[in-house]
Amino acid sequence: MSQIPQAVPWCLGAGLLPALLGLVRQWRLARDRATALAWLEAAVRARDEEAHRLATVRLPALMHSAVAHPAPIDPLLAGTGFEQSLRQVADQFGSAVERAELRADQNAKAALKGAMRALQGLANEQQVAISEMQERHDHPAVLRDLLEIDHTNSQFGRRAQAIAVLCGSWPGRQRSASSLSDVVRGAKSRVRDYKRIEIRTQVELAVTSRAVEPVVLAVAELLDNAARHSQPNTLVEVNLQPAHHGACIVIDDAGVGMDPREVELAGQLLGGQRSVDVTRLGDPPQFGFAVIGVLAARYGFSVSVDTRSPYGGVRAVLFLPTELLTQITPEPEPEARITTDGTLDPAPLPEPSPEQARAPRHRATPHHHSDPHQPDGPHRADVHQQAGVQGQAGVQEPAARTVGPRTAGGLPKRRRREPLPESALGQETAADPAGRSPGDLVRDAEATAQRLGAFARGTRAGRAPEPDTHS
Amino acid sequence: MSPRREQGLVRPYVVTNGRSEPSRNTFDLVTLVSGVPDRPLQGLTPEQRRLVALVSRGSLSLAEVAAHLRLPVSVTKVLLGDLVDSGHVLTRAAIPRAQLPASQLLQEVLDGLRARL
Amino acid sequence: MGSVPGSEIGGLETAGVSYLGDGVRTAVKLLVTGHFAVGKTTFVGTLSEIEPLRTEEPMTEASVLVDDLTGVPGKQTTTVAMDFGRLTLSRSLVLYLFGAPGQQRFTPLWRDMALGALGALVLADTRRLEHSFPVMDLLEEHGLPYAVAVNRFDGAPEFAEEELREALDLLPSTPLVSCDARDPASATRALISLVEYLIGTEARLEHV
Repeated sequence: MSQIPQAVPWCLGAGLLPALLGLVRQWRLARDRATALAWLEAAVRARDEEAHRLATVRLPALMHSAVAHPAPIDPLLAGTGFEQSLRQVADQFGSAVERAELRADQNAKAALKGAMRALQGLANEQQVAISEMQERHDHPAVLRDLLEIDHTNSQFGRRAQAIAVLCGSWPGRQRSASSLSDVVRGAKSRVRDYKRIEIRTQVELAVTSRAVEPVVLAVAELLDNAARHSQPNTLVEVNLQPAHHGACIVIDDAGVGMDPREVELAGQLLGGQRSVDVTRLGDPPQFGFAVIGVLAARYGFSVSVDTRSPYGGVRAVLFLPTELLTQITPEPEPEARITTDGTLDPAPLPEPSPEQARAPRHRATPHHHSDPHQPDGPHRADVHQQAGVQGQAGVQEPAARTVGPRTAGGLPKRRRREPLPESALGQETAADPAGRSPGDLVRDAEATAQRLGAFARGTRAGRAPEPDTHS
Repeated sequence: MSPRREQGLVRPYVVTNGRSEPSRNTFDLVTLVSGVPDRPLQGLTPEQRRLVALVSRGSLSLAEVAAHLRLPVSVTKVLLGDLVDSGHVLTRAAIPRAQLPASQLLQEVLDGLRARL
Repeated sequence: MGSVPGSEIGGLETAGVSYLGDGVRTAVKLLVTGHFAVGKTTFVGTLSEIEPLRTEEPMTEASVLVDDLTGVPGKQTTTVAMDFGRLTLSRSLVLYLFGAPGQQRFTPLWRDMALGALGALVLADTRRLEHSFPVMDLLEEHGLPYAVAVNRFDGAPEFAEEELREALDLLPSTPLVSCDARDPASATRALISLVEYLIGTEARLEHV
């Protein structure tokens, strides 16, 4: 029996050992599992974090820059498929953003360009109309209004043109070569505060035909900038200087100037190193330097704004290389017929006598002898008049009175008019340039007396107000 | 001197510096304009210089001056007023004072026309 | 003597300019008016001693948008303000002819041309006689005396003077002549009829 109790520990021992071993194994296993679990947990957390970072940091960053800079990744995930997948997501997202932005920019540009072209067309059309009105209306009050409208229209046209340029359009307006000072004055014409702009110097140089419009536009943006960023009571001074291999347009303002960061940004835009996204022009839109940069790169001139003006503000310098310059050419005269005496060459005489004055007119140009006998065609020489007539009042030649009384031979019949009463002309005469009273224009109801009135007005206008300043 | 003038580039308000009112209101299309020799040209605008240059060699009517300068008549009048004030040009009324009676002037016109036949 | 281009100031400006004679003291003006294509420019050009001067050149080229802007909608038109010519009649007298468009409205330019004018010559075309009516109405309404000159166009129907007078409802005293705007003598004769008529009315007024 005693053997049995002895055997018990053994048995127990033999039984415990494996159990212990098992326990140890279990413990190890558990420990390993815990480690693995911890690792897995960490890995999952890392993936979570990475995914979160992707969603909240990296992709938003990509949306703004569209350039995927490789983000530092948790070492746990280095080399994993997960990391690769993340990178793929980021890359694909990045290129999708890029494509979308490009498309958005292109769409915006295309839409804006179309709209701006239409506006430019209208501004040009309006300018023609305004010019016609300026020709037609010879009264200071009317002229004053027309000048204002003209000025506003010019600024409007410039704005449309500048945005069109940013959208990839070119200021393709055909101009003939123009003197440098006319180019600057053309630019001045398009700026709100034009009266503050003073052109100090003259140079005998002209800008080539192709470069006129782009240079005018670039200078206009510079002048506008200068005027906008300086006090209204200060002048913007423009100097024209011949330079080595070209010429400079130097614009000085007395404004606050720009800080180094602004200068740097401006330099990038002017140098064309930085492009402008038309979908992010800002409000109010700021694109002057960007427009200049685009034009400068395209047409081969350069602009810098990194100098301080002697007046404390910005000095902008637009450099035109020789290729964009030309000599001033005289205005071509249609005929080299030069007289001082009112008679016609080829035998000019010092003083016209009635005899000389009645010398045959050598007006041999076909223009003046155009055949008036074409059945329906107008005189060639009158072709201009057509536009003139239409322009005069925007009224077509009246085609009226085709019906009505006729003579025996079929001619349409007119009824003689009576002179208008004074009042009917009140408005017209109120605008009389010489300030004559309405009564002067139509004085009496009687036609004959009026005729005399017309004559008297002429002589009165001639005699009264102007002293004989000559001789 | 000026190159071939580009139409529409320099707008009229820049030409007159925003002014629309001539310094005198006596100008007519046939006001006769002539230059005064040897006046300094400093301070004149390009258009004023052109106007002075144009009439430096003889007289022209205001209508002709405007046409040669390719400026509207109204704008030309503003330039002309300034140049009369500054003594660069002289203007003469088309029909001077103490003109002979109307019938005599008309007769002169008639004689002149008949002489051309 | 002819002007010499290239003087100190503005030789270029004065090249080709035809100046008035030194003795000119008086300038008078007459209107030459009528509807579109009736021959005003031809008439003025035939008589004028100076090249036709326009205050504005055609703006077509200047305003044409090229490059990628072709096809921009916009009126491409010419701006023509005035059509005028000059005739030196004597050492001291010069006559300006202003071609005035003949539309119905009395535009400011018209007024400027008409103010101080001695009278007007209305050019008419028998094929489109009614087109002359508005300008005649205008002249009558504003009391500017006029004569009518029928510009002869080949193929235009001929009418008896009486019938034309009836159609135009002319006063018996208003001159009605026929002319060829291309022919200096014929054009001059048309002006002479006008001025004779002006002298006649003047004399009548003075003797009333």
